[in-house]
Amino acid sequence: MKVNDVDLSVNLCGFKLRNPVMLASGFLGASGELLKRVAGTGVGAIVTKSIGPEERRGYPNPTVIEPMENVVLNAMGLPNPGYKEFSDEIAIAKEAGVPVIVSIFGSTPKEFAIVAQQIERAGADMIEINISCPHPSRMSEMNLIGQDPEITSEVLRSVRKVTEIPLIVKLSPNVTDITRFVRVAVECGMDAICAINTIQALEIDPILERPVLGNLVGGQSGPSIRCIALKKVADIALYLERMKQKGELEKDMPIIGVGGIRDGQDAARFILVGATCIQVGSAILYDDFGVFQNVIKGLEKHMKAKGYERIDQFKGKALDWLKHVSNTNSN
Amino acid sequence: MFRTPTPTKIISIDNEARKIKTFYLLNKKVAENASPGNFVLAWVPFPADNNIKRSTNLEPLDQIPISIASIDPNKGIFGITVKDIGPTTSEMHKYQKGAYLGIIGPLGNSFSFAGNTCILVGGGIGVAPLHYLANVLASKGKKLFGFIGFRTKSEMLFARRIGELCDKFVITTDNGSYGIQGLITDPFENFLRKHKNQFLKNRSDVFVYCCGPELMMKEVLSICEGYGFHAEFSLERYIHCGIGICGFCSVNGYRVCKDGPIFSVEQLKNIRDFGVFRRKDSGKRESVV
Repeated sequence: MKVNDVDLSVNLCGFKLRNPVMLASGFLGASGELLKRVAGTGVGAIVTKSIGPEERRGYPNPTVIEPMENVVLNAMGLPNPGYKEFSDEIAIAKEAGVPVIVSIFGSTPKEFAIVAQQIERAGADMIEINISCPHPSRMSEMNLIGQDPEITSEVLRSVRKVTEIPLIVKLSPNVTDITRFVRVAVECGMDAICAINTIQALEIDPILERPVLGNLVGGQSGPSIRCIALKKVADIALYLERMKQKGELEKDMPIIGVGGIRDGQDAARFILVGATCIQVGSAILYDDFGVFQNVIKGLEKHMKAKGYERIDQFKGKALDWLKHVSNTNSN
Repeated sequence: MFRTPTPTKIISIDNEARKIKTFYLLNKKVAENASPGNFVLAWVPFPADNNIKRSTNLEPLDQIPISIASIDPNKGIFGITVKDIGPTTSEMHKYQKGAYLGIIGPLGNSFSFAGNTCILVGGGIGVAPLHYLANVLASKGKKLFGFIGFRTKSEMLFARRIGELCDKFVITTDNGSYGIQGLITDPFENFLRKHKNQFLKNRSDVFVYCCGPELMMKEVLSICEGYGFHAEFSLERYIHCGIGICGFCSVNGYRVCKDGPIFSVEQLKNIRDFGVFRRKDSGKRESVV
């Protein structure tokens, strides 16, 4: 039997990626040289640490912990050197020859716009908008921009207005109905949706009798959140399909799936619910830089075993099981 | 065991020198798995007086990387030597025997133990991990030479204990309050020059192990490169996660917490930031000096 050749390449917002595997934001992304090292593992694209308008220290440590198997909690507090300083790192990262996606944040729509404009000038290929940051008007950690559709809309519109390059919005799972934010993303001219960001979480040490993270509360990632992320990505894909059928969405709206991916089959799972690309982050903790080749080679091996030559031959295939269910929110 | 702070009891505390204490901690995982050069993340979970309200008014207490200074695997005890230099270390210095620190570790890589002629070059608090290394090298029957420098006599630590293990041992102080006045790099280079012929005969057998202020290490690197000797250096950077995933401790593509903290001469040739730039907690680059 002839073994088929597998073409892992995908198109993301006009960029041809050699494969759908990307570095997730927040990991190894504060340094252009480390980003280059990640690119050297063979990934299709790299995403930087979230960059804001000014230098920010972030929260005191412990900022990243592994309280139990497959659970990673973090509360970094968006440490970053500010967009001016970060331009140099972008230039270094770009030497890697793969698309560089710069994650940005701000506290007001205006701040987002300023950062986006400057980051575009610094040479970013795409921008990922991190809306999981504290609310501008209600300065509480429990109220994120990405939990309020109106403020999210203002932020996305203000960024869209000042940028030409493709924009990706990274959605928070900490909402009642993620599809409300999908609609906002479409209406505000986003080019792709990334999901999911971390899930709000808390760990208490029973002997010290206090929260373990320096910021007290944080977000959960790692293999333990994979099924939650799959459900959210499926919900987003189904909602986009319905919008298309109703004529509310004309162009293609790729989804970047992220949450607990550690091997090729995990990547396939996300592609099966409609993801065009996937991101890998927390699994670096277990497999270090080797995780990227594990996912890429694993996906290739999986496709060979299944007889697929291209990603689009099975992209969204598992959605057929879900699309006729009127309410996927029952449990 | 997971990479989260383990409440670890302070068994005893030694006053080593002015503003420098060694905390002996009961933690089997660290004591049984550590190797010289490894570090732990030591978290000061609350103010020493346990007043939670005060903790919100303080400069936030942090979790800091500290090299392991000694271990007693039979008793499950290890020691960290801490200088009071900021809000976190100052609060740690107020902790008493019986209190708990949060410990993640052992972390990072370790010294290689290569060579049968081992030359230790240390400065200041950087002498602490060399103390642990000297004990392990001596137990392996290696020939040791020690060169350690301090600012003043009042900051001297582990001098007697390291000195006992070395065939030749030199102490310098910047102000001449003990030993030879001046920098430790001078007697170190004189020693190499004097024994050059003997050492060069069997170059691969001679190993220099170094930990101290970065500019001192840079000087030691350049001396070792000049003679073509192998050497390993312990780097220090601001560390957030300590487990290799956040990337804030990056130096030219290497992570100090995971690829290091021990780097060889060959690696340091690629680390242009060594002795020049480091990253702050924000990731912003600043001068090492």
